[in-house]
Amino acid sequence: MPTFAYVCPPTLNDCLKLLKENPGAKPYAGGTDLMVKMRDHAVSPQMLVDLKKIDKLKGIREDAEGNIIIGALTTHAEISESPVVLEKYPFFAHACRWVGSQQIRNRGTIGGNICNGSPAAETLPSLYILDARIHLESISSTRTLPIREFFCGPGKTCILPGEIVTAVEIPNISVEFSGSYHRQGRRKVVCIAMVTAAAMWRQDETSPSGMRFSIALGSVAPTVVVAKNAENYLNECAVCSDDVIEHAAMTALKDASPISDIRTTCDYRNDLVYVLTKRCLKDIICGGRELK
Amino acid sequence: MKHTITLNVNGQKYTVDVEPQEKLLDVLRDKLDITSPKKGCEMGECGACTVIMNGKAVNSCLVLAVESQDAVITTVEALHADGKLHPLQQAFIDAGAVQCGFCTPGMIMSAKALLDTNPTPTEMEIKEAIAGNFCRCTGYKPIVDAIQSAAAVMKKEGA
Amino acid sequence: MSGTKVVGASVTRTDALEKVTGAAKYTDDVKFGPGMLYAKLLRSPHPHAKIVKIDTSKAEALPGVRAVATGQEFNSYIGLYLLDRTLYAFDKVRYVGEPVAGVAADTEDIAEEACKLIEVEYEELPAVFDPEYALDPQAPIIHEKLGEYEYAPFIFPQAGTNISNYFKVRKGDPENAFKECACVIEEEFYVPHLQHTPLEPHVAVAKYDHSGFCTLWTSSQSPFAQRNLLAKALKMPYNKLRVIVPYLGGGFGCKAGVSIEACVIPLAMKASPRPVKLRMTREEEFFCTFVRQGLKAKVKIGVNDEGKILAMENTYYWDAGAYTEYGVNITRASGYSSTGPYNVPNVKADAYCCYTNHPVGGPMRGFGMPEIHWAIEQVIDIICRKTGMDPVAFRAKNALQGGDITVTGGVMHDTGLQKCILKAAEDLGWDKPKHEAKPGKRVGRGIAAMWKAPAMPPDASSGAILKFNEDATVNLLVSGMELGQGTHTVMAQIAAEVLGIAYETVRVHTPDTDYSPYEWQTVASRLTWSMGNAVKMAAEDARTQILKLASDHWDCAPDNLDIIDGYVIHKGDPSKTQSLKHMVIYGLTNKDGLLKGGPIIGRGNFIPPDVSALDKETGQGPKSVVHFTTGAQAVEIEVDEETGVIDIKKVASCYDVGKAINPMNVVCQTIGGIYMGLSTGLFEQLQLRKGNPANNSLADYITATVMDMPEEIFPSFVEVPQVDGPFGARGVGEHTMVPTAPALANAVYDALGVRIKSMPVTAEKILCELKVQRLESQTV
Repeated sequence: MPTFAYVCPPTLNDCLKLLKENPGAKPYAGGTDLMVKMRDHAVSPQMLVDLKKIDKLKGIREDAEGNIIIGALTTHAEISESPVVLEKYPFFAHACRWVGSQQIRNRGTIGGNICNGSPAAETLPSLYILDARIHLESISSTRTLPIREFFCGPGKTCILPGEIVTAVEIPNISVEFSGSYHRQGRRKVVCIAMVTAAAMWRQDETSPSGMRFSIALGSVAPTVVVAKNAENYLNECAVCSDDVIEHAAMTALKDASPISDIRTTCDYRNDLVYVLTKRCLKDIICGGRELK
Repeated sequence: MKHTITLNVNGQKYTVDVEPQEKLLDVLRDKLDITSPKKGCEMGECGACTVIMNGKAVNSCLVLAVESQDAVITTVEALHADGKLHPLQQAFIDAGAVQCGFCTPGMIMSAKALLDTNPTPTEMEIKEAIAGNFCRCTGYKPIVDAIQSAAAVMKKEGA
Repeated sequence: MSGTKVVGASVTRTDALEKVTGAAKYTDDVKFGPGMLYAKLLRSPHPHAKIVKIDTSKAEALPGVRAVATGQEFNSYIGLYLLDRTLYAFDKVRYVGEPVAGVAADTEDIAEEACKLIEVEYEELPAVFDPEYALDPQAPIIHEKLGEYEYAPFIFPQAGTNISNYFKVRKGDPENAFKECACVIEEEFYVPHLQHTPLEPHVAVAKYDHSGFCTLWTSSQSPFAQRNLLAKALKMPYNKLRVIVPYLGGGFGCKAGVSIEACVIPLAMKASPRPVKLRMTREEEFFCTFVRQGLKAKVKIGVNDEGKILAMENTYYWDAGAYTEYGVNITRASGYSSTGPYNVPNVKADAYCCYTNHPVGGPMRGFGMPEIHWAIEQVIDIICRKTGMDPVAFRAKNALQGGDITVTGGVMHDTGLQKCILKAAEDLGWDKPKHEAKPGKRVGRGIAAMWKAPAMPPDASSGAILKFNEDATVNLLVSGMELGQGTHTVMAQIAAEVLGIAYETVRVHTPDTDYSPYEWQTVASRLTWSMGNAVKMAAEDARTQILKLASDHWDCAPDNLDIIDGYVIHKGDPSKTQSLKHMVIYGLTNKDGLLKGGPIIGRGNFIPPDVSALDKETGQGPKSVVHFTTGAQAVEIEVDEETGVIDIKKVASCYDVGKAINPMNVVCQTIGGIYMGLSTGLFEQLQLRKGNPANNSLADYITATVMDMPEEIFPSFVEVPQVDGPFGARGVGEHTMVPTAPALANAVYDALGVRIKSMPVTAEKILCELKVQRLESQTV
């Protein structure tokens, strides 16, 4: 493995300063992706800025408005076991359990997972449908971006030099809602997903069915994608019958542009988009009931 | 640049000089002569290098040695320190959960990390805890059986 | 055999304590001090190319580099059955990953850096990636000098072609027999390349001292084969090459023969006297050591209207890769086992070992049998489906029995195959209703039978030395490797049984060719039988010496004596007992007052007694192999109709082990075999793209995890004694994975009516076939 300088500053400010002053520096969190990339010489940072002493980046809290703020250093294991996440968004807690192995979940962080920018990331489709917001900070500025605007390609984010992700915020949903996540890999567990899908509805009196739908798909495009066509179709339907779900799941194919790779073929990914979307929708809609 | 780190491995304090790029696995194996964590893939897939770090099972091939400053590390060598086998070790022997033995130390550490926090795991919880520990010999079933019976023994001993 | 004490008992493994405490040392755990150098290899980026020029000067000039080796210096030929490769590539490279040069340096990083500085000029050549195409007269020739290579007498390389071995069977009159058949099915099947993926990657350390003495520590299944091949290639006297093998972290065949050791010794010779370590990364492991070779199989089976198999015509094209350390013998095994475990009067079989520009094919658990049974057992299933015959009854009816004539014209020994088939079916609940499928899922059952012989040269022999210590504990020296299968325990049990001592007092440890007796190799599931026979003989030898000593001491006939629980006893005189302690080293004093005896050392050696050569043109001969282990496996699955994902519900299997020396160990081997059979049947495939590996990492090469294992497993065995086996035993380690994949494929057909002919049975393939099926049903 190539060598580098290692620092583990005590404050966030120190970290941000170092990242600004050293363009060859990279923030280091759980290391589960970065260590492998460094070993493969895919990245060769001159400096690693270990964030692990920054308590501010740790933990999960719910603010007064019911927004959940998950510190960037929170591990997948912590999220999947978090009482508040389990209670409010069990499908997201569940998604975090699909990440790698127990060992990886014990080390890998939500911030790292997001910054890694994999279209197959287990956490992302759920965060998309939850309209999560990414908190970013550099030595000179802080900003918040909707997750849907955060990615610009496989492994590419719009994070700026010197900037780090400090937290992921799940905005409170004040109306009734239901969400679900499905994924399939080549074996049962500990594998990169061939396709991921998350769907949810939230109560919305303005839509004919009383439900407004969000659907996100992973591993079927350079980034996680929102299944706009399927969402629009559902949002216009008055009743969510089995036929409607079927059709919506088929429509989701229009939103996916999968490729063939070592994991599977484009064809099978399309098959999975249909099946997994359907399963998510079936989970959240009980037999085509009307909400109104 | 070398860093001097102090860490606690199996109840013993060590102070070692490490390069930033050195992995915890290599430092344990090469500098501390603790060779039970094995090098199987060096990318966190096989689980053969699993150790317990600050109470959690981790792949020591994905941990930089420098970040283990002040860490408490446990490897399988510690379980037998007082000359008596840990219930997990005994159960692995009795259940036929050991064949080539290369996965065994990491497997036992994953199992121990589980039982330390969840003394009465379900079969599914056991499987989840060791899904990242590959074994090519045993077919896993004897390992799951061993962890179940160790949990039962530990519960009895604790009671 | 009855009346045994420790043979037949499920005693605890002798190596378990070392392994659960972390005390067990593997090659990479051995320390060599600060002088050790680290090696890296420069590998061919091309599947087939001429080496025009190699310039190592820049690498040699890099600080920290201590030695550089290339095929210019180290080009002697090496090979187990066919000497077709050189230590380092010489004049040509024939697969992506072939070692072109090696560097030994102070650190791995420097060695890696130095490899990048070696300049190699290649001239690319057209390549061969399909075994059938390899036989095409238009195909490029991969080994121009095939006709000049040295080879073993039982293989048949075809000079001027890409065929490194051609094995033929001509038995009866298949052409006419097919005409009499009521049902003839002919299908083509495909098995991809796999990698064994033992948890421990290959690692070797070589030290060549100033006196020219070479020591090799290596993760090998074959210390003596290593010494044999390497000493010969490097023109060393055999006693100046010492091979030491600590515990092995699994092997499954990929650590048999010689692989990375051929590269590390030349570096050690040049960096003498510093030890040099060469350790494969997991990525290298996948294509630079051995892989399980691919197979294209054409199988044609004909049955009469009574459900009796009348004829088979099978063609096997083995994609053996660029060199054939083992491929030629796998091909041979696929020929003499070509019918599967059935009584087939008329056979035509052609097995071709084809050179391709793929990674080097090595042996893998089952040695060709999982691959050919994948085809045979599915064709039998197709026949059963078509004729309405029950797959269990059909197999039981056609199963080879003692006295039947095998495919190669020999007489089959007694075998419990029929019992195994029926037992596996019974344990699965074949005659009972299937469990109810969950909505959207379908349940299916499948069965497959198998046979497998230890595939080895007729002179593959075993030695054993048994040494007593003062306290009557024993060190049993053998060179069969403990690679997880439990052989040390079984050997301790055999020795203890014969000697009347506790098995715990027998220590069996890993070999050192300077001190341990000869063992051909740890392959072929041959140790229990072959090494077991040698150990039994060594123990009997020691026992005879002990009884002689006691009989002289008491002045009685040795026949009156026995050894029980560590004491020599007189069967007719309870007052006469003598502890083995002390006497086994210091002897006993006779009536005349003279001391007799001395350290007791038992000696045993064993060589297969009666294997004969097979006719080159017909493959016929009185005894092709030492014996066959047979068995069967049945599986019940649930398949998701929408995704094709399989859940394995139940697996039942039964093998005829002759005698289970350690029943628990047999069960553990069986469960492990089921795992590996399922893992390879469901997931495993080394993806090769124009000779380049596409998924050579553990993230991308998919193996089964604990979650993919069956909900229920029913392992069992029957014991039809092997007359020439120790206590009637025969091997079973590899066999347990052989029928798994075809049983799985047959279950998929049962569930969904789709036939997957290309391994592995992925969810994707199932769904693809289902879509075809749905389209076809719409058009009908």
